[in-house]
Amino acid sequence: MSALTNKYAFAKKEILKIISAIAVLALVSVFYYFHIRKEALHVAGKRAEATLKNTEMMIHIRTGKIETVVNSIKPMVEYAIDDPDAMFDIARHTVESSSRIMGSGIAFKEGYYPEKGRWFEVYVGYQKGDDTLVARQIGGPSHDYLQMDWFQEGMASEKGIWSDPYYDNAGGKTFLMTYSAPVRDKTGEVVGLIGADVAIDTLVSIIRSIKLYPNSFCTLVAGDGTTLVPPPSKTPKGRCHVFSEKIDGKNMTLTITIPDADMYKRLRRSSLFFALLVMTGILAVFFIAYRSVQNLWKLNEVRAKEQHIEDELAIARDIQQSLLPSGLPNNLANGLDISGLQIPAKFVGGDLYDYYVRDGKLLFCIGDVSGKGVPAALLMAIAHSLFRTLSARDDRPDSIVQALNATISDNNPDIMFITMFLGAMDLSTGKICYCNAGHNPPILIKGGHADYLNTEPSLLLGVDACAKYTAHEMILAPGDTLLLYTDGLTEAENEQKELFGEERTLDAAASVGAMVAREQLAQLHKAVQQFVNQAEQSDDLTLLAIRYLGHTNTLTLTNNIRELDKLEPFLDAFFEQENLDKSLMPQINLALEEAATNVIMYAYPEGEKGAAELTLEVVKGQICATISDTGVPFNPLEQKEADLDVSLEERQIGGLGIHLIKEIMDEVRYAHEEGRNVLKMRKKLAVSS
Amino acid sequence: MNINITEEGNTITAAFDGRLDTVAAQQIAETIEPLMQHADQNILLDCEKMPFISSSGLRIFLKIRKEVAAKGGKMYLKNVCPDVMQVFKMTKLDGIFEIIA
Repeated sequence: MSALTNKYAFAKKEILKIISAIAVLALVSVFYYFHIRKEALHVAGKRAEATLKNTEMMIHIRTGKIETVVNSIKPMVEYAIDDPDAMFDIARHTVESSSRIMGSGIAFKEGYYPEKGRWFEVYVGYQKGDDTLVARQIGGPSHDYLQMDWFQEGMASEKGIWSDPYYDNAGGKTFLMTYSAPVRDKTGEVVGLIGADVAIDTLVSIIRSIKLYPNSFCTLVAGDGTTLVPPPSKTPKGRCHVFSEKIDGKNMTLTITIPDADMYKRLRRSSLFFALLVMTGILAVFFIAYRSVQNLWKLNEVRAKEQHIEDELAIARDIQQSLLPSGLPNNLANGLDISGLQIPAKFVGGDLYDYYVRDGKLLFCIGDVSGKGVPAALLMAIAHSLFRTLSARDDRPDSIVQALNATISDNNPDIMFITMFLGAMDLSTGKICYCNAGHNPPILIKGGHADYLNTEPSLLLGVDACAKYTAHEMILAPGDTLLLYTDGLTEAENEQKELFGEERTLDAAASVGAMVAREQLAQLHKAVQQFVNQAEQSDDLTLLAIRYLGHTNTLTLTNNIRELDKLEPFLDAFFEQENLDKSLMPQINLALEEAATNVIMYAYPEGEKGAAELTLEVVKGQICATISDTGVPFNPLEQKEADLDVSLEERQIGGLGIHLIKEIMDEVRYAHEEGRNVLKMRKKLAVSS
Repeated sequence: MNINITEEGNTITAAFDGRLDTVAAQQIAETIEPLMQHADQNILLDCEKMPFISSSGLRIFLKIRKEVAAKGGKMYLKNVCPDVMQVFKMTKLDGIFEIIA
């Protein structure tokens, strides 16, 4: 459940990452789009400006021609200044000089020609409806040009000036502009003006021809707001941008109108492409992210599976460890001190050891299955149960090994094999009968000396079902240790790939001779660990130390109530050893338990560690038991006994124990000797049958 | 040491299985609690599978006996083996416990 929740939480996290990445991408794209848009507008503006300048120049060129015509004719006027009637021909000549000139006038200041009166303005223009030129004097009260702006401004100008566009009501019904240049007399004084009228619609073609964008258009507007060149009848819809330019020297403004649709057309196309690209990218990101999330899920699943396998292996390890004997409770009573140690290189190992006591004999084995891990562990479990089964009804190592080998060899499809050292020790004598099936020779430790057991090995197990195995014998003297091990000891590797080796093994073994078995193994393990240091354990390490104590009649109990569990096996072994009638055992057991309980419960102050030492002897047909301790001096015999004669209700529950001891034993004595409480008890034995 | 407690009618039977030695006596203090609670009824201690009893074990029996006496019930013992009987005799409890065949 939690794995699933994790899965979604995990995906959510990943998706959030992707979404924020996409959001950033989108934001950048939008920002980029508006930036490009601004650029496009800027470019359009520049283009419009250039076009407008260009158009203005074209207008200047066209009007410049008119200026040239007028300025070239002006000297003729000045030349003929004394002959007013010549002006008609000059004006006609002006009109004829250019097809664009619609009319030409020459006007003089008030009363310049006295004979002509106050006004004199010659005008030549086309007659309405045909191409005939008509020349006449038009100045007069009805046409008082002297008061008109164009005349006054023209007279005041240094060179020539253009008039504002104006609508020609009289002539061509069109917009006109007039260029007027001052005319001077011989003295250089300005006396009149020569002008040429130009139809503005001659500019229309120029303006209309400007096509900056497919749907852009230009207009020309006079200073007073009159439209000179109107927009086309079909104007584009939608938002537009308008750029304008005032034409130098003429009171007109040229505008260019660009529809946004045109301006951003390329941008739209490229941004569409860009958006497509981004979308593809996002899809690709999604796809990749989905795949990687999927992969991560898979990885998580694999991890979970691995964890599951690891958990199972841990259980397998526990099971395997539980197969190992956890020490005999009656070790010491049997005259035996034995301890085993196993450290698998992997979760489960292919090493095995086992031992147990049956009918006064210690049956033991140590083995090493080829390979490591689960397969080796399984074969190890089989070998272990075979050892138990076979040794339950047979105590001859050679025949046990032979049967074991036959079974394993018959069912060995993967050709795995086992080396094994199997033995049976007579606990009363220390004699060991053993069979070595290709296993490392054990080490015999005598005091401070250690040596390999010189033994002829037989074939290892699992190779030949018919192999014959032979047994050998040896004696383990009291105090000696037989150290059995697997190659995990001798072949332990350090980081320099050096082996612990036989020499170091012997040295380490020799140094532990005086210790109890458990200590011996702890010490050996420490020695190997120090040698191996940080290197990974390469093989399973198994050690089994069998230390023979000879016969002892002493049992030490620490002041823990659970220690009393050792009493019965100890007594059992003692009765067996001395071949005593066991019918007495329950009573002796009860008396000794009561005495030991007293010591354990009361001899030492709460929390202080101490021990009770029990010694048994058979002297002159009597069993003599001595219990001593180093606790507070206390004579239990002086304690008030339970008064058995008063009624139950009046009885103190207590004092029963000491009463039982006295009842059972024939003699009970207390003494405080050399700092010890010593309780001696004797019981006459019945004659054994 | 295991104690199997069963109820039949108004008789509670406690079957002792194992040695009632000092260690066991310490462990069963809680196990016998139901017996103490039903001390107003008949309590039958079945000693068939109890080969050994120590003074601590005797104290357990005496405690039950005391509770029974106080609450008005009865305590019986049955199937007492000779070794345990010997202990009862040594402590004169054979005259106090009601031992049935």
